[in-house]
Amino acid sequence: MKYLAGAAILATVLIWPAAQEAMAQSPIPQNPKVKVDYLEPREPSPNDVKAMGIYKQHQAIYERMTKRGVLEELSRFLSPLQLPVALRIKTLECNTINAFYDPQEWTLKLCYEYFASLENNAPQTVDENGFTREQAVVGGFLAVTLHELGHAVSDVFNLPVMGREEDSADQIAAFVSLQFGPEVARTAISGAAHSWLSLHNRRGDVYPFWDSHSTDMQRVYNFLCIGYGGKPELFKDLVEKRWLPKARINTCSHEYERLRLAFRQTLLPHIDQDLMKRVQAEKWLRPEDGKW
Amino acid sequence: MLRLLGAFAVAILAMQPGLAAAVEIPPELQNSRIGFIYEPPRSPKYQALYERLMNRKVLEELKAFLSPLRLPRKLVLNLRECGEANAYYSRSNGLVLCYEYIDYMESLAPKDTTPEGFTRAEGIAGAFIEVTLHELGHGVFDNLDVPIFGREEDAADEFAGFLMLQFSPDLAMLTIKGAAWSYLSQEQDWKGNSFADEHGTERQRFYNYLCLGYGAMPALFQSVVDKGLLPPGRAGHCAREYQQAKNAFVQTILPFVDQDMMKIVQGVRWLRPEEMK
Repeated sequence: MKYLAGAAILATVLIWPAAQEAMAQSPIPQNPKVKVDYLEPREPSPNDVKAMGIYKQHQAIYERMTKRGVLEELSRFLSPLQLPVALRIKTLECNTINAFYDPQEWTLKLCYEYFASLENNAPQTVDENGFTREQAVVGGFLAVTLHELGHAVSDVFNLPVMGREEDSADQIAAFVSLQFGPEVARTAISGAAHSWLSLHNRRGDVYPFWDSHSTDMQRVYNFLCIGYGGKPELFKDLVEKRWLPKARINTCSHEYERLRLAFRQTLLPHIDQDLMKRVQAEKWLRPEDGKW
Repeated sequence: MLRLLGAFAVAILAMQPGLAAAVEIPPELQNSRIGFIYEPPRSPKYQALYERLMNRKVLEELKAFLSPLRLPRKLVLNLRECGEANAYYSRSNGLVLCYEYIDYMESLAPKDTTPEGFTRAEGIAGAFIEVTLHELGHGVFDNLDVPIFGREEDAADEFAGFLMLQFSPDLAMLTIKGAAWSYLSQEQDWKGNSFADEHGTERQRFYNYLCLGYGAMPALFQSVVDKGLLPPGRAGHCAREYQQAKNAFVQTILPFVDQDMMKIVQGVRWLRPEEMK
């Protein structure tokens, strides 16, 4: 009997690494309800020098994104989400520096202009606040994409948004960023902070308080506070030494907990837990990402 | 002497446009989970306010107003002297409205109607109702474990604003404009990391309230757009913003509201005619 048990253990030990390897090798599927598309930038008249410069940058971004399969990766990243409708994610030229969620078409429209702006405002290596080029570019992409996804999930799941929807979309982006290991968390939260900090620096002290968006700096603080609330050790340096005053620091863990509670009550039932574990175990960022 | 005092009291009550004698509360509006305490102030300064609020049965009325809520935990409504101008909710204390803060808000109320059209009644009764409902919003979120998307401070404003819009048009006007006035008159100078505050700026809250009002009752609140208080760039989104607040309320709070009692609550005229003017 003892011998038999020993053999069983041995067999298990032998099979186990193989099974693990097989699991790791079977790729996480794309979400069948997430349809992705890259629209080609439109080539301007060769005489229009300014438009040609913009086009070349958009074309380069388009080529890099298709080659890296960014949207296909995004669809795989979203595989645990059980959507009631097909969600489309497109990259395209918009003639404006922006990104949108279009509820009529259930479509995320991510503009090359916005990605170009992320690149143009990113530091060569690292800026005076310690934000890196990779954080500004890749993290900036994650932040805006997850923000627009926040609008999309509020719409398709009819979330109870009692506060302001723009802040809610930021909160969803921040919360999601924190669920996939320290690298994604640090990149996305720093990218969000860098994006809105750089927008604030370009706009100056002009505050459109009537707007349904919070001010750029309020958004910077909100992202950092949720990051710190969820992973205090990871964001300690940014938050405690640099960005948030003590009064706000004290509320961050409460803010994160509120958000976690809201997620658990509303979105968690729509998430496939087995797929989620696999997505959480996957390494999503590559060393070369953003280093162009 | 007694008669003189009595006459004096009547004169004072008549002089206060805000909170005079109580309204009649239907006996069905009971809720054993809600308690209230008028704590006598230590400072003589707040004695008159304390008595006025007590005579007006403000907390009895608030309790009756909240009675349709099926609360799993007890909620106590407190009026007290706090040592600072404040109002807050905490799980251990319940709702706390400080005499200092009510006194401060009343001191900010316009003597006469302002050029933008804010009235003294809005500045007194409307502002008082705003702070009370906002803090109750925090209390209800906590008590019912309400899922909150967006910042909790804004959610508490939207909770308050949504409730303000479920009664008569004149009450909607008084309370929404009172809320807007309250933030306008308390506006601070925002710079640097003051933007890290968990609250929105007073201006943002001012616009949020007006936007909810306009979103719910566009004809009634058209004047705030015409007067330029609510810019067209925001006004266009307000119907959707109101629908979103309503959707959140219906999903998260309405399941805890006793519908028969709610109908009675909606039939009560909560303010006396002179408090509306």
